[in-house]
Amino acid sequence: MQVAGITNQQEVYVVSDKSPFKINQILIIEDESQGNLRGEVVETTSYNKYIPLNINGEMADSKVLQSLRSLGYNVDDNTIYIARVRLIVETEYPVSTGSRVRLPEFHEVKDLFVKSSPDKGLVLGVIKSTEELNETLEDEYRDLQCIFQDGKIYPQTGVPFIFDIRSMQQYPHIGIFGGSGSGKSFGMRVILEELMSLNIPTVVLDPHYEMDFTLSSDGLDEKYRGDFSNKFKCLEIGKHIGVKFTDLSTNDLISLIGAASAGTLTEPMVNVISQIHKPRDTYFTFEERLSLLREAQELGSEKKIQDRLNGAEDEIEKDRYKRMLEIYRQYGSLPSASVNGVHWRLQSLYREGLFTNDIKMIENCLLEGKMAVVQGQIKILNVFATYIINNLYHKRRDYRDGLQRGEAAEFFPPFVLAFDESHNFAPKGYETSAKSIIKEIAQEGRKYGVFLILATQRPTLLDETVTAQLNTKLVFRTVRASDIETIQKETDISPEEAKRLPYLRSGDAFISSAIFGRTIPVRIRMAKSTSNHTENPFDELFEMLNKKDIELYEMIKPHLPVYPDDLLSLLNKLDGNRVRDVDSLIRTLEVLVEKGYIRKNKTIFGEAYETA
Amino acid sequence: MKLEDLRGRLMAVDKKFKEMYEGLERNKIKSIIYDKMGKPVSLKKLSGYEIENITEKRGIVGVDGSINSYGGIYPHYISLIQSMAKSTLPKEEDIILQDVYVPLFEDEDGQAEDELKRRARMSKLELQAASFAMESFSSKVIFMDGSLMHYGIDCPSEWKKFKEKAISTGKIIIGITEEVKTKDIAEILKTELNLNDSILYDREVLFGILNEGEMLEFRRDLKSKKSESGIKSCYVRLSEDPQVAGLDFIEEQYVEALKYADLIYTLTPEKGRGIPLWLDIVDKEVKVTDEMVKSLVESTISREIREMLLNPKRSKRG
Repeated sequence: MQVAGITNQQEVYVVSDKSPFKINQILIIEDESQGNLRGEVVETTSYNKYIPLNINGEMADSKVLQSLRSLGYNVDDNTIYIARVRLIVETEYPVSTGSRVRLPEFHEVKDLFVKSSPDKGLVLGVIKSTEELNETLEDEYRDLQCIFQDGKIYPQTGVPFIFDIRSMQQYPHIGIFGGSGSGKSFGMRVILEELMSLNIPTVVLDPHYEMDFTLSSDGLDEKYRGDFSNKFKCLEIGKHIGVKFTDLSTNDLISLIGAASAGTLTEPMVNVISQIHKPRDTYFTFEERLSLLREAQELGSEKKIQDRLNGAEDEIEKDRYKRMLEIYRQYGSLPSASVNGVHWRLQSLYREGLFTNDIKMIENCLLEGKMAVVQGQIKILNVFATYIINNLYHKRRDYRDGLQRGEAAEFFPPFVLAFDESHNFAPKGYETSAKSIIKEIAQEGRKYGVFLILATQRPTLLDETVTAQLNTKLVFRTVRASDIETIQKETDISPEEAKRLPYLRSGDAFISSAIFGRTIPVRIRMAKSTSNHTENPFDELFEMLNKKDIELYEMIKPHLPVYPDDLLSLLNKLDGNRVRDVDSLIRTLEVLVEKGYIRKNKTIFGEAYETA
Repeated sequence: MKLEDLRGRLMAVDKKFKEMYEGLERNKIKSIIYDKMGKPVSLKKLSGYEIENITEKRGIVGVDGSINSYGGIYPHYISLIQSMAKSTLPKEEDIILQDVYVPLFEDEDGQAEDELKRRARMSKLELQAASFAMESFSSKVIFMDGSLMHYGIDCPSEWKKFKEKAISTGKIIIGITEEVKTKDIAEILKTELNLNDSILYDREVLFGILNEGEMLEFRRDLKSKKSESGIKSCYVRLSEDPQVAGLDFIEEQYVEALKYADLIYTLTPEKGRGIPLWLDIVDKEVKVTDEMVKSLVESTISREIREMLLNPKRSKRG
C-alpha cells in the first residue's frame, strides 16, 4: 500500500494491489518527514485493467476471461484497489506521494476508538472495519459480546464500541434514528440491557409491550448471557401503576379522558370537563358531580328536583338532592349527551384501574437501581407519560435543589428515561402535554442527572430543540430523503456516509457522538434477551392450524378405515363440538386427505378413507 | 472552416472505389476460393477442461514488441524499443527486453535503410524474447503478435536460428495478424475473373466471405509467397468482425500447430476486433507510451543535447 497521486493536507489516495480497502478503516501513513499519520478510508474503489475492459477498443467477454483462467491466468489478480483517505488530523504540509501505508496496531489507534472500559460503559457493538486490530487488541476488550448476522452468531472480531456513560454529564442524551426493520428497536434493547447491567435507574415507556428481558436469546452461549429477571419490572398502567387523581390538572384530565376512548373528544365534552372539574378534586368528588348532573338532567327540571328534595325521606337523601339542585342550576345547560359521554368514559378509566394506583412502584424501581418498563395502550401512555415524567423529574430536581440549599431531602436517584416514537411526545411545530417537560429535561436534565434516550423513525418530525440536545446519535438505515437531510444537519455524518444510509444493513449504525468527535460505524451487538413478540404471526397461524389437524387426525385414527356406510356411526363416536354433522365430517376427512394424514381409496364398498 | 471542397473530393473517391469492386461478387469469389484453394473448417469454442488438456496445463505465451521515438525526423531522433514474452502462468515471470536505437550512431545510408534497420532491431528483440520464452516457460505454444513473414526479411539469420530452435524444442510458433497484408488469393482470383489490371489484396477479397469461427485452410499444392519462405498460413474469422485475421505457422509445425486453432478462437472475444485477448494484454503491457518516452528521455539526455539534436522545431509551435 502506498500514497499515490496528488495529495493535500486533508486527503490522500492510497493504492494497493493486494487486498481491497474497507470503508471507515483506519490506516497509518508513514510520511518520511511528518512521521506516522492516521487517516480514515472514506471512499473505496477498485479498478481492473481488463474488466470490463476496453483495451484498444477490445471488449473482453466473460467466456474469454474464463478461458484465460483455465490457462492459469487470473484476471482478477490485476485488480488495483484505491482508497480515498481523510486524515484524522490535518497536517502542516501535503503528505508525500509514495509514502508507505500500513494497517495500524491497536495501541496506535486506541484513543480513536475507546473512551471507556467495558465494566464502566455500555458495550453496544463492534466498530466496523476494525477486524485487523483484533490481533493486537488488549485483553480487556476481547470477547465481550456476540454479533448476529445473516442468521448466524459470530464471536467479536474487532474493537468493541463502548459508550462512556459517565460522559453523559458533559454530553447528555442519546437519539436513536432509523426506519422500521433497521435494527432501531434492537439498538434500544441493547442499550437498555447495558443500563441494567450497570444498575442504572431507568424508566422505559413501552407502548408495544416488547421490552421484556426475561427470555434469553436463542443459541447464545452461556458466557454471553445476562440474567435480567431481577433488574427490571414490567408495570402496566391500571394494573400496577396509575395516576393520583388529585394531581391532575384539568388539561391533563381532558387528555386522559380523550385518550381513553375511541374517537376524539367532542368540543362540548371538553367543555363539560373543563367546567365541572375543580382543582383538588378527587375521583369521587368529580365523579359524583357528574353523576348528580346526569341524574338531574334525566329528571329534567329544577321543579322536579325540588319535588324530590321535598319528598326526601332522610337527611342523607335530602342533602343529595340539595347538591343536585345546586349543580343543576350551575351546569344544567350543558348538553346532556356530552355529560353522559364524559361520565361513562371516566368510569371506564376507573374500571381499568387508572385512578386506583399511583407511581410508587416506578419510584421503587428507580430507588433500587432497576428499570421500570411502563406498559399501556399507546393513547393512555401518551397522557400518562407526561404525568410520570413530570413527577419523577421534579422529585429528582427537588432533591438536588434541596441539597443545594442545605435542606435535608429524601434521596431520589438520577435516572434515564427511554422511549420510542419520541416524535409523538415532542413533535416539531405543535404543542403536546409531554413536550414542554421533555424539552426542559433536554435542556436542563444533565444538571440533575436525568437523561433521555429518544428513538424515532422520523427525526424530521422531532422538536428541533430536543434534537439539538441529543449529544450522541445512533443512526440506523434511513430511506426518507427529508430524514437523511435532518440527520446530516444534526450530526457530523459526512456526505459519503449519508449516501450510504439507505443501504445500511439491519443492525449497522453510524454513531455520531460529541464524546468521540467523529462518526463511528458500528455493528450493534446481539441482544442477550429477546422479545416474545418476534414470532411471526403467520408462523403462529400455521402452527395453530396444524395443531387442529393433528388433533382431528388423532380423533379419527382409531376408527380407520372409514367406509361410506360408517359415517353416521362414526359421527356418534366423535366429540359433537368439533364435528357437528355428516357433512362436516366429510369435510374434515377431505381436509385430512389433502394434508396427507389419510388417503382415499376405491374399494368394492365405495370410497373408503384409510391410513396413509 | 470550409469543408465543401474536401467533401466533394472524398465523394469522388467513394464512387471510384465502388466501381473498382463492382465486379467482385461475393458468391462467385466464394465458389472460386472453395474450388481452387481450399475448404473452410469450422472451429469450436473449447471448454475449460479441453483448454487444460490441449495446453497440458502449461499455459500459453504471448510475444509482442513496441517501438516509440523521441525527436524529429531522420536522423534526429531516438527510438526506444521493448519486447515482451508473457506466460499465463502466474509463477512464470514476464520476460521484458529493451533497446535503444539512435540513427546518428549508425552509418549514414538514407531514410529507407534506416527504417529497415529500425524494424530489424525490433524484430530481433522480439525473437530474442520468444527464444528466452522457449527456454524458460513451460508452454508448448507461443503466440506472436503479427505475421511471421517479416522476421525472415528483417533479420534472416536470427529467424533461421529461431526456427530451428523451435523445431528442435518442439515449441509451436504461431503468428497472428489482425491486418492481413498479402495478396496471394487476390492474385489467383484476378486470373480467374480476368481482372488483371485492377489492384487487389486478400483483405478486401476475403471480407465477409468467412462466417464467424471459420478457418480457410489452403490446399497443399497452392503456391504463395509465404510457402516459398517456409511459412504456411491460413485465414480465419475469429469474431463478429467480418474482416479476417491471418495465422502463420512454421511449415514443419503446420499439422501440429493447426490443433491450436480452436484455442485461438476460444480466446478471442466475440465483440472484439478478432485477435486473442492474451495478445491484447501483452500488447498493452509492452507498449512504449509517449509519456514513457518523454519522461525517460527528458530525465536522462542532457538538455543541450536534446535542444541541439533532437527537439524538432515543430514541437515549439504553440
